[in-house]
Amino acid sequence: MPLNIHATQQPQSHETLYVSTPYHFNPDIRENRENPVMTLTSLLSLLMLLWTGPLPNGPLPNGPDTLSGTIYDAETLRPLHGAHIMVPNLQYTTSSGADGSFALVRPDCPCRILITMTGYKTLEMDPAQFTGTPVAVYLEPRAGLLSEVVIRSAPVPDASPRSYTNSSLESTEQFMQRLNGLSMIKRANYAWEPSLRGMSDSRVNVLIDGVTMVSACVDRMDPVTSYVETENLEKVDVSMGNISFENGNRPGGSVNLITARPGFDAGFYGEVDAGYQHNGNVQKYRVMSGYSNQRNALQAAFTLRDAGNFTAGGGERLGLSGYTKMNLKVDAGRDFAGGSRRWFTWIGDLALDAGYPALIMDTDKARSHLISYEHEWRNPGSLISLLRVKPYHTRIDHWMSDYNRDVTTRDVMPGMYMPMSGKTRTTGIRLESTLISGRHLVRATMNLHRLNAFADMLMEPVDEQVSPMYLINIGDAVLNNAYVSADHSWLMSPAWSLNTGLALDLSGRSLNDPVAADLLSIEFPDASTGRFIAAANWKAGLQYQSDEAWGISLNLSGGSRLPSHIESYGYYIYNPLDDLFYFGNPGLKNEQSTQVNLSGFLNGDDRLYGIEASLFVNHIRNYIGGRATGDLFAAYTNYDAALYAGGEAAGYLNPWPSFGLTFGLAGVYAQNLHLDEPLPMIPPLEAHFGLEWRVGSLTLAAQVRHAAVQRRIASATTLETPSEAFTVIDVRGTWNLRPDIQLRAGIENIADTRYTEHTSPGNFPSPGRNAQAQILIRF
Amino acid sequence: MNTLQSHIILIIIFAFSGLLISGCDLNTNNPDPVDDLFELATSTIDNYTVTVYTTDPVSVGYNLLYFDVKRGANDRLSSAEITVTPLMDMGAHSHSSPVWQPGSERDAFYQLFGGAFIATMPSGDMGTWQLIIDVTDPQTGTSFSLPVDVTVAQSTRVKVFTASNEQRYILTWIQPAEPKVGSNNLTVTLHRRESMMSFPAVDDLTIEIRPWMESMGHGSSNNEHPASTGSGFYQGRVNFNMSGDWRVYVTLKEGTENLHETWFDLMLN
Repeated sequence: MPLNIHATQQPQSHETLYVSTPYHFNPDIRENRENPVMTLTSLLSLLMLLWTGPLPNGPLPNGPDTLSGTIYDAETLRPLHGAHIMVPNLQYTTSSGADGSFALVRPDCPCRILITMTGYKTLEMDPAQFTGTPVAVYLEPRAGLLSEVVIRSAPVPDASPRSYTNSSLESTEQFMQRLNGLSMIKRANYAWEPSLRGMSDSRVNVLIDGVTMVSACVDRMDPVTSYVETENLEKVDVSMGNISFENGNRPGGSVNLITARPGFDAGFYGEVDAGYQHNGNVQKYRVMSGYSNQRNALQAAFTLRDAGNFTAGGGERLGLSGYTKMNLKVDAGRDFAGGSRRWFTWIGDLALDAGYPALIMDTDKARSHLISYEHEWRNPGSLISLLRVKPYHTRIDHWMSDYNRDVTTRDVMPGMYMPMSGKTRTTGIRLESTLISGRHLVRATMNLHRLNAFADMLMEPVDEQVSPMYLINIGDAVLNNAYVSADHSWLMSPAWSLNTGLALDLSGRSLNDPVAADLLSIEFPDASTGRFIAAANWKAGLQYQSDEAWGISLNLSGGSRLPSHIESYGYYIYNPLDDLFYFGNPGLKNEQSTQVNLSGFLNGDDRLYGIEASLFVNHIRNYIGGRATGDLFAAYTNYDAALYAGGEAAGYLNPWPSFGLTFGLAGVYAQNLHLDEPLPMIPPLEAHFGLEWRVGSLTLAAQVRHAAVQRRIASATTLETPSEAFTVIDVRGTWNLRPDIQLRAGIENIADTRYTEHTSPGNFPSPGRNAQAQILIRF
Repeated sequence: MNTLQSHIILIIIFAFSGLLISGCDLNTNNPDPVDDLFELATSTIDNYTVTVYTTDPVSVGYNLLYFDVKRGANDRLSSAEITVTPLMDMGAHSHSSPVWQPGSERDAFYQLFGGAFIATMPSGDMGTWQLIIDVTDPQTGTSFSLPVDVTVAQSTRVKVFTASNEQRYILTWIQPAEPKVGSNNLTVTLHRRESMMSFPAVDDLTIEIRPWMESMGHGSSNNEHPASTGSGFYQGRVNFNMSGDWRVYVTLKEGTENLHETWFDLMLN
């Protein structure tokens, strides 16, 4: 994908006294600050002062040691608030203030400066372009960009050649699916679940704005991704493996869905968006509006999606595949002069009558709320560059049933309806801080949260002579979790850097429903349902990056994953892969993961071409998986070991400024070493090829995605079926009629290929040919 | 302070006083546990008064019996020889049923003479039940007998069958009387019909159970087969993982040979 860098520096003077820079790494700057050093005591005291005023803060001086300027929209010339200014070598990020201004202490290394913002093309600058006086930086709007994806498979991601920015012509879920090493588990035409390097569920931590949110459906019909609208996302932060500890430690990695916040001093603004897809008669309407001045911002976005039954490739119409979904997001922010900001965010989501053809039930109703309050201090102390405190609460209620199914003929539990409900509540607080001293940077994260989970199930026989049955699937599980991590980056020389990290997971957990606890004790008489478990994690990585041309990194890590509440306390949980009902095991040991990741990249002159590759090995001891205990039941157990190994490669070629090619290749080998059989739900070897052509205000793109046959299937731990190879071709186009009106159109699966993702249970076919159109009006 | 406020304060004080007083247990005497029993009959013969109690209304199955014997008006016998003979009068013939004779000393809890019997069929058109109670006062040597009519309600807790060894057995489900979801203590009894009037306890056979939910097509795991504890009693554990209709299959074995399989149907709320 071409990166059309558009940067101009105008000689006009800019007042850049306002500093929004959260990171600095020049020790001299400490002398200019009057703030007390933040201690742990003061850190804790901040919890009691959430609505107090900002800590005092001082501006960075303008001068040769400072990189400063103002960021503007290249078309409207409006200052841009919230643009990210990154120093890739040290993974530093700051953002522009309400008036578009920014300032950054000149890095003590031959670094590049990357300036990114949602909806705009990334700009790359050399620190030498900052001569000591503020510069004007103009970002070129990207046509219709709604989201951005950042992959962290190596500690030097921003220097890698892959363009992780969505081309805007596809949804975020579609785009994520195309990312190397990331695949989507599809149980319906809705609520796709990300899988990283073949790992999903509790091996991948999915967050919304860094907030821990836990699915309520025990059958995984409501992955966390379903509770946020893709149009509201600003960025998707994907971390492969144990590269980053910021978003929790899981062997598969993390996906942080970062939602867009309003800018300041933008006045009254809004967007109206309407779209239609012919396959499934999908209609989507979105209204977003907000108002902000220099200090306050308020924004609300409402999205309504309504979909009917879709048609798979080849013409088969899938019943019960429609859905109706509403999402409302409200942000309120206040910016304080001293570099402090407060944000209140509420995300409410309601899904109704969502069909799941791959499963035996459908969602009647799924309702979620995410409420968070964030207080951010920038440069509050001489060492602390950023401090962020974020209490939050989430609640999910999920109801599903099979009342719309013919239950008399199915194989599983024939002759009875099985409505189920589930609910989860998480209440927690997340603390983040960044400390910088010279060439050392430490990021500390603490996430304390309590999870309450309950799920039950009613079985109503069609034969009225038979009594109904009731079952508790999760009997009021309570998990008090504490996660503490510290990442340390040391820029040893302009080329070499060392990353190390430690993290600790603590969990006190219990099952408070006595009947549920009694039932589990029957299955596992030697295990207690109440216990305290802990896990320690470490990582170390060495990177070499000579310049922009090439770089290489080697990372080692050891991690321990705590069993999830379903793995520990689930009871009678249906698994569509093997038609077995699973029991949780309260006595499970932690999974112990040891990972090695080798990454490298190579860029051509002027970024004419580039290539990057990653190889990984992930050895897991005490691997948690299902083991059949009878014809109908299975229990979670620890297998001796499992192995994940694989790699990804990606590249681009920009032969002309208006034309670009991309390609990618990813594969993973996964084996249960205990049973000597493949692990389940492992995506096959995948490749994609894309091209994009821009002519004036028209952008055309085509994507070809090929998945190989997957014959490596699990048969002992579950009953997978092989999947066939397929190739899917999508074409899309965007036409900017005016700066404030955009038309989008495209055809997905243009050949109407019938295909099934291997990671989709029940051989659930993906949609066939799908023509779509959309209009976006900004005001 | 005006009158209305004064009244409100007084009302509050009285209300709290009432709560405090009601919260105090002024009666420190423990209630008589016999009050919880059902009185089946009271009969006076030769200056002796015999009262028969049960813990529940008598039904087909295992029924606990308690006896109080008084000499004169208030002289409760500390020991007595009591023999109970259940008798089902079916017109053309009569038969008895398994019985556990009361001890000669009063039990510690009720301070009564406790025993039990198994009613193998309900009262009704097929016949009527009587308990023939023979009492001997060991101090005076006085003996007497009295019949007590008993109405036995229907239940499904008794299985009477002829096994493959041509022996006729009475298998009785005792507990859980009200099974719950989760793990339950299981007690069954086994008797052999030696004659119409003799039903000795059987302690040397093996009993295996298999709880099964017919409508779901599955059972439960980690049950404990009931093992003999003597006097015809077998004790184990039975697990139910959800509410609904359950069937507990019971297999009677002699060594490895299956003698018979029967079942008990249970409903868990």
